[in-house]
Amino acid sequence: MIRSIRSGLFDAGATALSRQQSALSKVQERAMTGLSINRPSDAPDRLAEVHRLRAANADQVQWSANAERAEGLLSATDLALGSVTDLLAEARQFTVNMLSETHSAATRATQAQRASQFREALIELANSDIDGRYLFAGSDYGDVAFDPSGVYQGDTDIPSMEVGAATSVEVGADGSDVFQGAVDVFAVMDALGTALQTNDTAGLQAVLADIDAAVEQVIGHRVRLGGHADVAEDALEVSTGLQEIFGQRMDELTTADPAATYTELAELQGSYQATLQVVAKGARDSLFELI
Amino acid sequence: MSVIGALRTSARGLGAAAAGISVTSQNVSNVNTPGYARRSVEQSTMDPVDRRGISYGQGVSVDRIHRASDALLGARYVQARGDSAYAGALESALKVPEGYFDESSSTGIVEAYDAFFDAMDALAASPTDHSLRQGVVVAAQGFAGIVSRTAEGLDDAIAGLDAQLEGGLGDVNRQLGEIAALNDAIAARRGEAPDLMDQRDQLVDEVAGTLGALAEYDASGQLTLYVGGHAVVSGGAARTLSVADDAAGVAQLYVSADSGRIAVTSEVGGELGGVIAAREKTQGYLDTLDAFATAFAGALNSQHAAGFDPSGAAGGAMFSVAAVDAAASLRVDASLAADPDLLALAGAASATAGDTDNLDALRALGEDSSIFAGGSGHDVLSTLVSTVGHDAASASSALESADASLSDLGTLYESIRGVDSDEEAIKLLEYQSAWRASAKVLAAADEMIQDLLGI
Repeated sequence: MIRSIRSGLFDAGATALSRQQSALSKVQERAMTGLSINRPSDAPDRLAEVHRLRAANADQVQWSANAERAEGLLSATDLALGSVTDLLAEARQFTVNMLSETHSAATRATQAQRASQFREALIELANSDIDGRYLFAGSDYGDVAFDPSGVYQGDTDIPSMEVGAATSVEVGADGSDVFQGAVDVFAVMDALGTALQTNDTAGLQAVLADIDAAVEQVIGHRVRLGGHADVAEDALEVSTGLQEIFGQRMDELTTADPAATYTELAELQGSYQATLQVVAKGARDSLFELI
Repeated sequence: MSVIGALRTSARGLGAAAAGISVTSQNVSNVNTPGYARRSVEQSTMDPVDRRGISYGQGVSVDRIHRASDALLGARYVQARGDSAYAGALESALKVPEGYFDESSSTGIVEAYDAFFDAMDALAASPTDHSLRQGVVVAAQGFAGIVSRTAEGLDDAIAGLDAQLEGGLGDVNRQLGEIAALNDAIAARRGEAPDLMDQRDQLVDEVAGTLGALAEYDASGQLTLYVGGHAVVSGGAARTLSVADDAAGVAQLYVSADSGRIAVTSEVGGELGGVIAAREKTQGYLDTLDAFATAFAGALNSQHAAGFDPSGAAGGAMFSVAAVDAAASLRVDASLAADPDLLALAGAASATAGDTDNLDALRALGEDSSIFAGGSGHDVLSTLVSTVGHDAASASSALESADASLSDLGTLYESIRGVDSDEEAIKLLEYQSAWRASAKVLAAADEMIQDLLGI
């Protein structure tokens, strides 16, 4: 049998109190910060997963931001092309009107300036920008897409944005393809002006056909942009969903469960008080007090 | 047996009881003295005297004052004491480097690394955006700052541990000399020197706490003390321990030998052993960080130099890093820090504004596992942080285990040699009763003699 000695009670009490204090301080820290990982040693294995999740979440945040920005750029581009379509429709109606036999050659000549106005408006639309980013300048979007004479200043590369893992969407347009592809809309307006000046009704008829082809050309690009906008929207939805999942998992890994933490805190405080009382009572009960 | 003989026998009983009370008094007064082993009176019946065929008892004799001890348990306790001190020092020392890896929020070194590449990802969406270029530079400065601060912190921690090691020997050499002297003194008294043994055990306990030690006691009570497998006290001779820098300027621990000195740095235990182990681990963290900084800056600078800024000029350095203390010296290049437009994102001098060929190549370095040994930069840093956490957690567990072992052995050891005040109170009553009984017999014998003299 092990011989029990009185000083052992104090030694054991001191050791137990020290351990309990250490455990208490850890639980108190969890309760105060609300975090289950306050330093690497709290959960070194979980930490690696937290790092991976944070990195993956940061990617999703960036892709969400890119998708939103892509949607904005694509929407602005589509809006500009919508205006181009409207302007071409207006030019077409004007051309139809000018074909009327009620117009004299002189009237047609005086209306030739409208063709120049259409042309200038189209160039203005082709130079649409958002915060200095020219939508139809290809990847050279730092400068205007077309100079005042209608010469293309951009390039043929279409910029894109990453909106997911191995997923990109085009966020601009090659202006030379949109406005000067199969049909050169500026040249069509030039032809309209020339036909009006020269009272060339056959020429006006040809312009009508060119305007229709130009509208088809623009609509084709709008359809393409719409496809990219759909990809961006889908990517945004996926990214947002993944951020929620990653966020929940990170919370599970790093957030201290309040109920469990406070229960543990109460248990530790109880055992700490009990140990204190045992040591204090042991100190009072000495045989020397009785003799 | 004569009445006079009874007087003598009673006197011996009184003496034995008084010796018991004296030893009890010594025990009670040393109840809290570190290293004190309880004493007890060993007494025996004196040889009887035969007279006319009748054997008369001569009372009691006090043979010796016994010092409670257990050589085997004592040796195990000394070893456990060293193990506990080692674990305590290691656990305490590793809290310092762990403090430099603040991973409780998103401000840790791994997050800063990811944030730098995230900023480049953001820039890829709009490479002409000046604020996003500025964002890349700021994120780069943030990451370089964390790497630099962490490395400086680790360096300070190592310097602190070196200072602890250099000053840690403290009184050890004096203590070893005193143990050797006590060995001599105990031998001179043929092992019957309980107070000296107490002193020696207390000194051994202190040396074990500082260096870890293995104690061996021989039958004559002589102690041989080993540190790292080398006898530092043998009989009346003590070796000298010293700390000196090695060729690399790293403090090492030596024990004197007949032919010079022997390095025992990697063999010692106790508090200094824990300090040495913590220094090695901290140095390992710093080495990892230095290697990372060198490879990181080299790869980023090389790729950046392959690109072109908006003016068509080739890229300069992105980071500056020194050959020595690389991590602590990591900074964003001063020119780039002053002008984010120097970021060389394009793949060609005549490239358009949206050309991100080189930026894409720079971004790809974030996931490139060929730059570092051990995966991508993220993986290397994440592994480093996990290693720091594992080491600190292991040290904490080892301390709990060592303390529990020490506590158990301590309880066992104290149960043999410790003073129990209740037990001493009972002994006091026993000796007091024996003394009173002997006094009563003495008084009775005296009365009988008086009666005889009065006839």
